[in-house]
Amino acid sequence: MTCSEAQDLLAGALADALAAPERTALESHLGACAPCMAAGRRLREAWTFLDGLQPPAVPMNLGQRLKATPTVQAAPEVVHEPAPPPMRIPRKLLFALALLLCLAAGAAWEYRHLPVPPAPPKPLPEAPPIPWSHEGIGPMTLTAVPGAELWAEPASHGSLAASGTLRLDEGLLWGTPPSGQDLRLQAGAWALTITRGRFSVRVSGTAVVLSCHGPADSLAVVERGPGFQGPLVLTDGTCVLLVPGRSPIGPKPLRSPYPGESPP
Amino acid sequence: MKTLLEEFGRPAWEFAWTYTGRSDAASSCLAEAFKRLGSARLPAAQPERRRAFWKILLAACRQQTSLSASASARGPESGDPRLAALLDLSLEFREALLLLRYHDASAQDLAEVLGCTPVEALGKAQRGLSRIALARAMPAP
Repeated sequence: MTCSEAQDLLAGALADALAAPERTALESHLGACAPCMAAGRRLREAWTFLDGLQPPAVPMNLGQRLKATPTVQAAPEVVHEPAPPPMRIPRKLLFALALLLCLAAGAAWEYRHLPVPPAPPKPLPEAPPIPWSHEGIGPMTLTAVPGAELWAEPASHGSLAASGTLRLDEGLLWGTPPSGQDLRLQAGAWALTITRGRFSVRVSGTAVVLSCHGPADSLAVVERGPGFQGPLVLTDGTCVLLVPGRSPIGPKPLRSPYPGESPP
Repeated sequence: MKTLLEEFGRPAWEFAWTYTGRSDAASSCLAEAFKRLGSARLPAAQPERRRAFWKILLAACRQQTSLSASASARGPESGDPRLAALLDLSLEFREALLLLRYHDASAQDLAEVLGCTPVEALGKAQRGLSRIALARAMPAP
């Protein structure tokens, strides 16, 4: 089990949501990996911190309102229940139904000849656009100060190869790479090669230097986290870097890689 | 047999309240979820039944959050720093973390509700929790 795989399971372990083989593998990894053990301790503290949150009681009027709905009053529906026996329908009722059908068909025939006004288009709820600006085009290297947090999503269209070396005294690196992507972690020097997907970097103790190389029209979307205190320095690379900024670019507004999260 | 309200009411309320940060928005989420349940057929067997319910509730909460920008602009009704930390998370991370806490879910349950793989689902919850840990470690600017 790699550090990345182990760290993905940490929250699951805290919630006791892991299967036995995963839990055993995680425990064995944590026993041999001090950084992951430290990360686990930090997560446990955060988990315990959330324990103190007490949601208010369910409002009385809500309970009564929901109880009044037939869905809640009724026993839960069963999908595979046996079919009820066929009902015998009286002849008089059948005759009345046939008569009603004839009348409805006649009314529908008449209705077809009436002019139908066009339905007004339904307004679609639109998410507020996130303004983006070019932080740099062309060669670049990202440099962050200690304590910084970056989230990056290369390849919002096309593909992008971002590669770099992150030197961390202490920190976390995580990613959601699809299969086939090379994500390598080494003690001391952290090498990362990513072609698709997104990755996040959190550092503590030293700077991050990330070189970004890709085709001329490829994009890297980078968001600075709340702990980011320094500027991005662009000195090397071939891709376009976008950060949340002052003005929208291009005909299609880009979405934040983490929807709902406001830029710092 | 328990009604849906008895079965899911309390955890659903807690989930919706921590998801939206407001009682009025949480009430709307639950009302919408139970309305949708009226036209849905829940499986009888667990855990499919539980997963189906939470999928419907999550969809209602997402809709409520996307439509009520004004409600979220009013901010959370409680000044609890734990709630503020949760509301600072992106929806992607917040919902994974909250489902893990209130749904009493296995990794497979979580993945089914969120529509991704178990590892991705746990990874989202982990990243949400990491950000809370990081925010606590950092002094406020």
